[in-house]
Amino acid sequence: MTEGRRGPRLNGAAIAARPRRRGDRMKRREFITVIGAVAAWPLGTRAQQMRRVGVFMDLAEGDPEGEARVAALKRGLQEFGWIEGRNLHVEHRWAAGQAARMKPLAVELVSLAPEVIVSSGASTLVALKEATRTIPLVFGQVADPVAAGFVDSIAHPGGNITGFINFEYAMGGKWLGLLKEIAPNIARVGVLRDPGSGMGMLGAIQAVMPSFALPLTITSGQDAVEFARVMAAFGSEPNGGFIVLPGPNTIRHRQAIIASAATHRLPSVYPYRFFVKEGGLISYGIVPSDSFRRAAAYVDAILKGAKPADLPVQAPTKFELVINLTTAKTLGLTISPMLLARADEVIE
Amino acid sequence: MKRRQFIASVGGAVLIWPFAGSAQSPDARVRVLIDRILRMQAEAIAEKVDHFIKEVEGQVGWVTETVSAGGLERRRLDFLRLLRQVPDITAVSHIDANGREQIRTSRLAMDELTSETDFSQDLKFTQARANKRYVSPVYFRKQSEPYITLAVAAVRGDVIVAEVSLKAIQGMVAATQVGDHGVAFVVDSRGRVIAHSDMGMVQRDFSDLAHVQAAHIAGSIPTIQAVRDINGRQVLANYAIVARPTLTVFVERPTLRVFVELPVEEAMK
Repeated sequence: MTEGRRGPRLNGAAIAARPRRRGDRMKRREFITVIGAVAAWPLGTRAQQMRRVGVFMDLAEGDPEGEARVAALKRGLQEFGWIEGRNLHVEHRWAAGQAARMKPLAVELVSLAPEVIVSSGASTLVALKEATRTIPLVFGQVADPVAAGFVDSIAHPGGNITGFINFEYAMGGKWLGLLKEIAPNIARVGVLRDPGSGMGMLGAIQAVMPSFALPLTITSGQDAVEFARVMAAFGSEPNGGFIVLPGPNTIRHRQAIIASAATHRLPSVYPYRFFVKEGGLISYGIVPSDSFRRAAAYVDAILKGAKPADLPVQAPTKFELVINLTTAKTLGLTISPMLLARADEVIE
Repeated sequence: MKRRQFIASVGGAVLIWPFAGSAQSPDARVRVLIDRILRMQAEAIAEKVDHFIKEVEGQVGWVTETVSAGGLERRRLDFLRLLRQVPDITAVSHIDANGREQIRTSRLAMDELTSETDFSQDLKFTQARANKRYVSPVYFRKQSEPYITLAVAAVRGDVIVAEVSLKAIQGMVAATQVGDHGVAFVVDSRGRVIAHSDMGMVQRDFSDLAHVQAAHIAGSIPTIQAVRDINGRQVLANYAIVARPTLTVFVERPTLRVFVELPVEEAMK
């Protein structure tokens, strides 16, 4: 069957076109056939139609971490048969961590009316939520979507938003435990956070702090200059250890933070692998690209008709511990066999 | 013929049966074949789930052998290794013979040493001691992730407890192709969906469905049923049972799939 590869319904459309070319008056039966074929045609070609997906990232275009997340999403989509340029058109917007750009970019993306938008984190999602109540939104990383008002509940999001949780608050205590383990001699703990995020995790750190009996200093900042300043102030006294909480600004200005930690000899714990790749001491957290790969399953489900209201928010499944031995050596730290045995990756 | 090809070819034949004869009384042999296909698919998933639980149980069992040797740090190292080896375990803890928690290691929170929390009256402690092992009913962590608590008795009355994510079951269900428009799903003992071909159905309450109720009657034997699915469509369904934890695997396929399969010209006649 020569028409086979195009599918049976296209075949019907070709037959239906014939009477028109002949210019005959249509008989009732043929008329019905034509109507039937026209009605069936969109079904047959739907697979070839370009479907439109928006991607709104809080990082800057060209940021290797941001690019890796988008690439993971697209690889995931490919596994479901969605190939960019063939049956999928992807519109990207990059907010580069700038609060002022969030809203206009979100409005711009929504005005293009994609069928679903993937939002990297909370900051981009706030802007998108304001811009649309109808377009399905899938977030890749939000710590507490219920508290933030994005969803009614984890099990039944209820609105046009669903997605993937990155950190449970208890992770804050995990980071404190790791800091004390990698640098047992610390006498003070500093926490660095974005002004807009990290409260829940900070709460978890404060909750377990009494068992360590160490003084806690909470600092925050918005840009490289502020981060360098607060870290210099904390690092001016000896025996400090530092925890950097996840947030759009701490991620965007990570190089300044890592450099300050080195300058002031602060053993520091980070939430993501890429901090350690770039010279940070130790990280424990999710694999961000993994949640973007998993987000592809929800994009696929939504393109096939699922409602975000019915798709439960999902928790992370993969965690990794990464240690930079060169940084440890520079700080004069000896890594215990216990910690080394647990590391998923050791950078030398 | 490989098993997969067999399912595919027989599956194709099944699509024709309502047209081949009277839809009311299909050929008995065809009926037997459909029954066999659906049951084989349900059993295949049930086997995978069972194998998965046993595998995790085995890994936890390995830790019980060393728990009484070595000190606290040695045990903690064993636990951390266990977490590395089995990604489905989110937390593992050691309860001593007096029912007091000694170590709790989690992927998500700070490790706790000698918390001495009292679990002596907890089912996971009492049941594991009485029956060597205990598997809890499914619970939903943070309202979203299906989990079980798995407790294994060690020598001298100590108990090792693991919190095990059942998320892997979703992958097993998603990998099963039930015809073009068929679905597979797994429900817990209360009829709550823990995995489904359509992810939007996960966590829905299926306890009102006739075939789910029938399967939950003790001693019932899996057999093909013509029933309505959650959307009210007529489907043929069969199931298989996983004993521990109590899970039921269902496979459904639409009864009248053949109408949708016809090319346009045929349908217009």
